[in-house]
Amino acid sequence: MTFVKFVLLLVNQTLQIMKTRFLFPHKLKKIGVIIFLIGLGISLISTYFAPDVTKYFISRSNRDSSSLTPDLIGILITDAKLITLIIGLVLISFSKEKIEDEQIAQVRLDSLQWAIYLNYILMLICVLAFNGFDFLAVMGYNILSPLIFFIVRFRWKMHHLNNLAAKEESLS
Amino acid sequence: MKNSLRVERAIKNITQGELADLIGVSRQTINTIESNKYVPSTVLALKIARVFEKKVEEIFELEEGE
Repeated sequence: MTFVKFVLLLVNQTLQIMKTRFLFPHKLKKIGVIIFLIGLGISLISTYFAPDVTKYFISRSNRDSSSLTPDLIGILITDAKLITLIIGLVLISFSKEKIEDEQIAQVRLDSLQWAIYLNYILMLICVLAFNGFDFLAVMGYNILSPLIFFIVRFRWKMHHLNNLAAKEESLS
Repeated sequence: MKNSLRVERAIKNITQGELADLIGVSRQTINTIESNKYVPSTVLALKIARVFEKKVEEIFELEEGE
């Protein structure tokens, strides 16, 4: 019983910390954008050097080979692409706004839920629509899609709220 | 829930932006509270009331049926 209470206390405290502190400082948003752009740059390069998504999945096991074969270079480039894109998108997603308040926290949470719903609805459709290696490609895109859906929805909502407030300001 | 924030603001002659700065929230939040699109937390409601030196109930009240 005491153990359960202890665990509950721990969970509760973690949630409290998350509510206030599990966001990055505002200035990391810009850095996130830069890292994301670097990731996009690597993506462009990798269309020439790196294997496509399915080949990447299959050949990942060759990553430990000691010689620098073209295959290994391709895998490393794809690794770099994924790492920069993921870090970039996470920083963009979860950096504080300039002025962070409870309504923005609410919008962020709503958008996250919305993004996850959308992502899994699309996944359901893809499970039915794609077979074999095409489905593997879908899984590849699925690494980034929840964050992208989240960012688009969150930014759109914030833009909408900004517009409303700006309209109000111009009236008064 | 409805509120008389707009009226109180007019009496005190401050803009949404100024009120937002006073309590440390975004201008958008004040705007959506005024247009009844967002229900503030108790803490935020108390902070708003403090700016106008009134009780929370004088600014925010339940609507019929709530």
